[in-house]
Amino acid sequence: MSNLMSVSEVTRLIAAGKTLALAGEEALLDQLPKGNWVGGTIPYFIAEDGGVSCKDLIFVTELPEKWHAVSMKSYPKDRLAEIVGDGEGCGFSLIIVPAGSDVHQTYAKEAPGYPGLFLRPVIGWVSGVDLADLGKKTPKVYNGSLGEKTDREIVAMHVSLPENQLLSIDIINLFSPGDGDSIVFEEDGFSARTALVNGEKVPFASYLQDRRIDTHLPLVADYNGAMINVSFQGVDAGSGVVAFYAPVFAGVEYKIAAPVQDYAGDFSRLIPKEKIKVIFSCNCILNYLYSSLEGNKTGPFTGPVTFGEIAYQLLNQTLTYLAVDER
Amino acid sequence: MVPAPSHPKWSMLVAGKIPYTPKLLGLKILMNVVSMNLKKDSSTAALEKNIGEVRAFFVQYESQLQDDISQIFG
Repeated sequence: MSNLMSVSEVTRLIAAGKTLALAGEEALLDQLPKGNWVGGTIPYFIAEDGGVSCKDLIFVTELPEKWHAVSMKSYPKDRLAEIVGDGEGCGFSLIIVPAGSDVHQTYAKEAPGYPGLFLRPVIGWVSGVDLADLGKKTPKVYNGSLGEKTDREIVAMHVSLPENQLLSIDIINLFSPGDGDSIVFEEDGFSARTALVNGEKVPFASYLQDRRIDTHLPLVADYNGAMINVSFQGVDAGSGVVAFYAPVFAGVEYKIAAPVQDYAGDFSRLIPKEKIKVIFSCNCILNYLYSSLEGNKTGPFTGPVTFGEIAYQLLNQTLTYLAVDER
Repeated sequence: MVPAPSHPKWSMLVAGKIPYTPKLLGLKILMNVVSMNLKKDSSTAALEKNIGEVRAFFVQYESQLQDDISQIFG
């Protein structure tokens, strides 16, 4: 169950012992009592009535009745790999990452190499702030069991569930590689000065500007059929630095995405045909902005609009979801 | 039953020599990670380590990967 609720309604759910994943304004989350919840700051949501910016309600994802938080824990930069191994016996881990923090950068770069990362679903999102407050406030995450918030650690809820329930993490990504140049980077990182374009090393900022590349379109890499985006944060012609919202990885072939003409139409075509029960989902702030999702619905997928999505690793401009099926 | 690590198809799989598109998102990303790992280090030890990671995924999700196992190992 997921919905927008008032502080008093959320407080009642916490008092009733419900297991919750919450998203909302810092001033609202600060008012909540201790309990079985984790949360992160953001004032944008895809609610049942469509995309909305809201500062007086909290988006609540209530986990199913027989699902329990085995543990809730915050992880500093030097202990992020422990997320994968903690919560013995749990079925999955839900993590929330404060945007722009060291842990955001470190998890993004290092998570694919964490031993055992893929042996248990890890899903989550990157918390953010009102876009008008960028640079004024820092995004926060909350460990409700301790009543603590931080802008420097990742919070994780390790969740157990009945054995007869089969979980799946998946993504809906409207972007696919365009038919343009092959782009390969020589180093991992959230920024790049150069790239190998069709094998030739070029200043990447100049390349983007000379060809008038629309940087609202992400770079896309084909990971064995999974389209993985890296979104552009900015192109600084003066310094020659191109910044990204997720790291590019050396040796991976990227292409500029093909344009998406009709987000709502394309999205409806990509919704899984088989009947699934969506437990949690989140969608990217860039999709919300560039595809005008305010007031528009995305099928059964409701949740926070985020500064990054986690499906094992950090993703950009991608709807990410956790679904369950009875065996 | 997931074949033993010594089965020759494992090394072909991680080297991308078997036409195969995983269905599970985790396996799609893992196969890409393994491919990049082996581009950086193709030693026997690295090959065994990466086969171990892929095989561990198949063991963990064996019930969901029956069709994949049949396709790869026959």
